[in-house]
Amino acid sequence: MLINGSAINGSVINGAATAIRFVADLPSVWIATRYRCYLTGAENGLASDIELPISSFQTRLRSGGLSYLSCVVNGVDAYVDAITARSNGKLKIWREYVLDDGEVSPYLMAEADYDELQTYSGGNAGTTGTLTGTGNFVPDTAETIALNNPTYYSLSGGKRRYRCEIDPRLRPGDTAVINGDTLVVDQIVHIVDVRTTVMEIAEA
Amino acid sequence: MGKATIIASLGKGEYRIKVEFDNARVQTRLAMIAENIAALTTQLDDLTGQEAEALAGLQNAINSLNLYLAVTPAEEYTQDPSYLNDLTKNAYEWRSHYDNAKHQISLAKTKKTGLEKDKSYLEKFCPSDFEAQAWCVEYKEDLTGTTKTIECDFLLKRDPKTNAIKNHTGIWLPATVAAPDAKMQHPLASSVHATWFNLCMAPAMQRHKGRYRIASITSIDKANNKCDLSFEGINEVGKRTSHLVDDKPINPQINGAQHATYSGADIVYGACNAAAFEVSDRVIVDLHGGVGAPTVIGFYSHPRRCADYVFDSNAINVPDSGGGDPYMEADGVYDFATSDFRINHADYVVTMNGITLSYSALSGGGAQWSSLAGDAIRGFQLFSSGRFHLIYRDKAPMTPQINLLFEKAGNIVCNMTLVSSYWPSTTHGDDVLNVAMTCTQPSSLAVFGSKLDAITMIST
Repeated sequence: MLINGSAINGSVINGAATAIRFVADLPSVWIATRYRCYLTGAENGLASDIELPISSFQTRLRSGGLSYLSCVVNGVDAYVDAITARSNGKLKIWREYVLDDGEVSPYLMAEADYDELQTYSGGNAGTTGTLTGTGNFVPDTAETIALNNPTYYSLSGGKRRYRCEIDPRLRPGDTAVINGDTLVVDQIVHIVDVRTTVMEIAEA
Repeated sequence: MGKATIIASLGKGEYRIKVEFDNARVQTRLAMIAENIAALTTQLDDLTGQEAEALAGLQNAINSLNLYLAVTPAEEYTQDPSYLNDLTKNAYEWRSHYDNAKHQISLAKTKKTGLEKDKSYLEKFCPSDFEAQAWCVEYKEDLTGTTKTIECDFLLKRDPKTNAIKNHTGIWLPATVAAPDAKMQHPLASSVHATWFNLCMAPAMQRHKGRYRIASITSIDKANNKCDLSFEGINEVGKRTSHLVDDKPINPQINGAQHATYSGADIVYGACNAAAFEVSDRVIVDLHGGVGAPTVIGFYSHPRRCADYVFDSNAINVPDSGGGDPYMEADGVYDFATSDFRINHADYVVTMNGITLSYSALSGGGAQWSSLAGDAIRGFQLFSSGRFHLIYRDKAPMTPQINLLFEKAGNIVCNMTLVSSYWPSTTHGDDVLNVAMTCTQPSSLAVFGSKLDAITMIST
């Protein structure tokens, strides 16, 4: 896995598929967060991944059934050759924490097999592409993760839902500790664009 | 119900099958995608040609412009820039052609890539067929051909990578191959409206028009071939959940009321019905489309083989002195239609207590093997009624035992021994005494069962 041309510990960080799951602490202080989307090349025998300039992405990560990831890329036609060359690749979304010393802490948020490319032409954005993927994003081992800053709570059908600050380490099946509640997470929805950052979790 | 072609029998009721889908819409879409990809490929060839042509034109225009600027004094084109302007305009026009061609190429490539991904997406999630393992609801090892399949009112979830059916849903084969009357359809192979309609109707269908269901036997009445069931299901989908249907089906409506459990369900299974089942067995239940009472038709997995012969009575007769010969006998039922002993009797050599028995036909298609030697009578009879009878009668004191041996082509296919736990020492006239008997049957081919507690079946 390459980010900005350099390897991150040479392996997947917080990856869903790793037998031993290492959940690193989040930085206590950071000055910015940013999201990066990569389409991997290894599945097509390529040495490099490409970074896609996404304007937004959404996930629906589920403990039962397939998880979904969709990313919107403006001006996708400029990347078409690189995307086509990675037709069997995986879409990965990372959340990076930029620290005050300029260092970056990356955390994998979502990963899915690249399934579809839908394109839309016209408007000021030129040709916009939506890359979607599906896959299993349930880790082998569940963890307990404390979530921060809840902004919304609902209790429906006996199931609790929270919206809160994004924690990129959270996976379906994990136990979330939030607002004094403890719940096993069945579904995680991320909605992120330039104006909105939402993570909603639903109880199993 | 679905359609499948049997690829191979894996033994003991398990099969490798190819599940076939009604995939016409997907095939139509794939054909359209193929057409569009072909058209885009042609368009890309044209555009590539136009790009090369535009690039050559641009190079020529730039060369002409550079040449003109190189050989023409500046005063000349300063005084009259019209030719320079024409050359410049020409270069810009070719540049525009070239840029436009490149843009069109990248757009066409993007469309083509999108279509190719659509194609692989449909092929991944909507295959026209896939191979899977399936259990037959009965112990059948010789099913072949194409047959209808049984699905259990769940939403089937296939893992697109392994083709395994997720959760505990699945596809079963009926006991006999039957012509398919329908095929399953992937949601993507249906229209959006049809899929939504089906999803909305699913809970009502599961409750009121249920077809097949998974259940567990909670108690069993073997004498009357009935059992009590506990269905694997839920009574309702939560009113406030986001699900239209859950992972488990809605419990069925039977005789005007919803049932999570049901008492007195008939067991219809091969030739032995309830004899093959035990409490706690997971079974497949036919709900008959919501009409009538549920019927257990087979096993969820690992179906048990019906015993070929089931004893239901046994007796020992010890007469008064001088009042006839003592005898030992046992009776039961067997599968008249499929008994190879009866059908291919010439293939077998039958001996009882070491004496070879002779074959003779019985009226109605039955068969018997018997021997009259001195006072001794040895006999094994298969009646067309589906009953069988074993008897050993002798005047001489005897060991209370019947040993019946069947050999086929030199191999022992049945070696059954009925042993009484004791021989009565006192008699009260020609009384027939029911005593405990044990039947051992170590053969691997034929299986003897029992309905009587007094006879214990031991099979391998």
